[in-house]
Amino acid sequence: MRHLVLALLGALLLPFAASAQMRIDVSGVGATQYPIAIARFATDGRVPQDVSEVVRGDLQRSGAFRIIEQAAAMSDTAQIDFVDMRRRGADAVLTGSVARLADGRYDIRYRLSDAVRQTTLGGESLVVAEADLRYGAHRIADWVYEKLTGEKGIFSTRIAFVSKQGSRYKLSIADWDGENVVTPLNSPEPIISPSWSRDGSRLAYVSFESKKPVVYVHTLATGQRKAVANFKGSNSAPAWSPDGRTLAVALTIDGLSQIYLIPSDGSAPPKRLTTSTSIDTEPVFTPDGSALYFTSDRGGSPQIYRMPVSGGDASRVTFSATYNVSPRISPDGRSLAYVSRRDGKFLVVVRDLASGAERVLSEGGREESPSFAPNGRWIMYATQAGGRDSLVAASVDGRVRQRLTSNAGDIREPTWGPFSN
Amino acid sequence: MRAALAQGALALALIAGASPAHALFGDDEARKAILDLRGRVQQYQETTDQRLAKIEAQLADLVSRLSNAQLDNQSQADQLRQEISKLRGQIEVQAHELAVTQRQLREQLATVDNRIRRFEPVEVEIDGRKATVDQTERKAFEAALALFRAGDFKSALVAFNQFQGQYPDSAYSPAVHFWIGSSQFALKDYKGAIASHEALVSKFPQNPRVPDALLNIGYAQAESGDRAGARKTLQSLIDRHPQSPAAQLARDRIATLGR
Repeated sequence: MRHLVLALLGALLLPFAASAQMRIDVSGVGATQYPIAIARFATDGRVPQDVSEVVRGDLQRSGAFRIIEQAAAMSDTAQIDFVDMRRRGADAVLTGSVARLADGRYDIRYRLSDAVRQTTLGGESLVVAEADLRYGAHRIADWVYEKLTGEKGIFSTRIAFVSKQGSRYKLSIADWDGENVVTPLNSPEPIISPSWSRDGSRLAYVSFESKKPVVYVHTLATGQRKAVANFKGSNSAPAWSPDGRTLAVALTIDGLSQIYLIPSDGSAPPKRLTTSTSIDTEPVFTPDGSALYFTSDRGGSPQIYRMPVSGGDASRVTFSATYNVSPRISPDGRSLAYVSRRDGKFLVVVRDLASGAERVLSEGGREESPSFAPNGRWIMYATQAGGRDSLVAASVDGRVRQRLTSNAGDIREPTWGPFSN
Repeated sequence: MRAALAQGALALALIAGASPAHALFGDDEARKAILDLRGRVQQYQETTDQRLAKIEAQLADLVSRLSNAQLDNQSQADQLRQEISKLRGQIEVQAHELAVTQRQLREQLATVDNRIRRFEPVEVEIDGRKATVDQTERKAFEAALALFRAGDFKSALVAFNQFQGQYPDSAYSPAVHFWIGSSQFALKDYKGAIASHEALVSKFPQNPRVPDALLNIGYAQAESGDRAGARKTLQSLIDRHPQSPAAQLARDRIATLGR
């Protein structure tokens, strides 16, 4: 097990770097690490962001790559000394260039070469605004990751989370590595349960700003927000249907907390889905939208159940502990992540739904709010370590774990956004 | 209370009404009557208050008993609900365990089935005919045949003879006769070859190998110098199985015999 600490110094020196300083600790490595040399991208010195450094950070933190140091800048058109690259152990070489265009945008060109066969694996170009240079770098990392592993990368995806600084709560969105933070909502009252619509355009969450839990839908592009569930009692745990038109919520409108469906624009009254004499909460839709997983204590202890969206009987899914909550379903619908209390610890467990095989992903013991990356390879969750809340992204195979801590106070309630387009 | 007051008022009204008619009464008497009446009203009031207090006490007692009963009911309902939840949980767990056990059992049965299947008779096709044989039997036959095909006729002969001893009634018997004869032929034991093939022809006259057996007998006779016998055997093969490939070979052989 290797342990390394990455301080993203490059990013922190930049003018638009977030004031909330994030730090990432990575532990563990993938089963096989692909050795890749990432050259510094050639520039004319007028580029405010070291694009290749961001690519390098992404690939390194994924655990799937071993980065071969390459000191000299190499443009995408540079002649590569493959013999030298092979001697240093690189199987692939990434080169590139960033140039400022007349309109103020930046032209990023990059090329991936196979050092073993001494051929090119392809190259592309991106034109981005200055503010999107980091995003462009993440797109390049996604492209390289997919070329070399065959799976879609998640480096250009975003995460939403809640941070508490002093007495104020912030709902924030950041790059997957915790950089580039924007804060759609800042409130003196708690904010919980953020949830991304599948197209990434809207966030639903619960805010206590009117001194009681109310579900809001926030359109990120416009900043417009609307209270879509503000009924008598508590309104909590919103979850989007795949088509974005429906929210499943937990309401106490009829007494005990039960699951209801409401239109995501709040245009119609809630339709009650569960009718138990116990507490039903934390609904989440399956990727095909046909069923819901949720938490209920109808069996005497909180467990995870599944029921059709059209109504009907709920069947119990979890059995191996007396406390299993916060279900999250993987994008392919085959695995379920949840928080399980075992030996007094609250751990993130991933269960293969077909075989029932389980893997304990976390080790801290005060875990909550698991959430899958859109490629299903990672799970992010909140944990308490040293009395502080921080976020962890753990690979589903259990090999790599990275912790995001912030100097800006406690961060929790993470939820991983969808693929960006 | 109201009734008592009404009674008192009525009494006062009677007194007031009565006074002009009894103007002879002096003030003292009237005062006495009023005092008397007041006393009676007060008495009424006291009795009524006592009765009221008693009723109120009874009512309070009743209410408190009722609300106690309601609390009891509530806590019983809660207990029952908890009990139901617990039972429901147990049923869920047991149904799950049953499902798991059933699945395991099915898997185990499948494994056992697979194991048993290795020892169960299998259906094979021998010289165009379907037959059921033991797996060890089939393996022994195929092993002997492999020896023959590899050209190790000595070992093949030993193996086929062993097979015949071990499985005298095998569906492979006609084939075994044939391959024993063929092995003997290859080892130039023409006498033995003739005997083996003849055994096949006489025991299994309908077997599709009969024409080949007859051909081999003819060849063996020819090789051992019995030209007449060979001709006779080959001719009978041609007569009886004119369409067989063996008949064509027999015609060719007869032609060479003639020279």
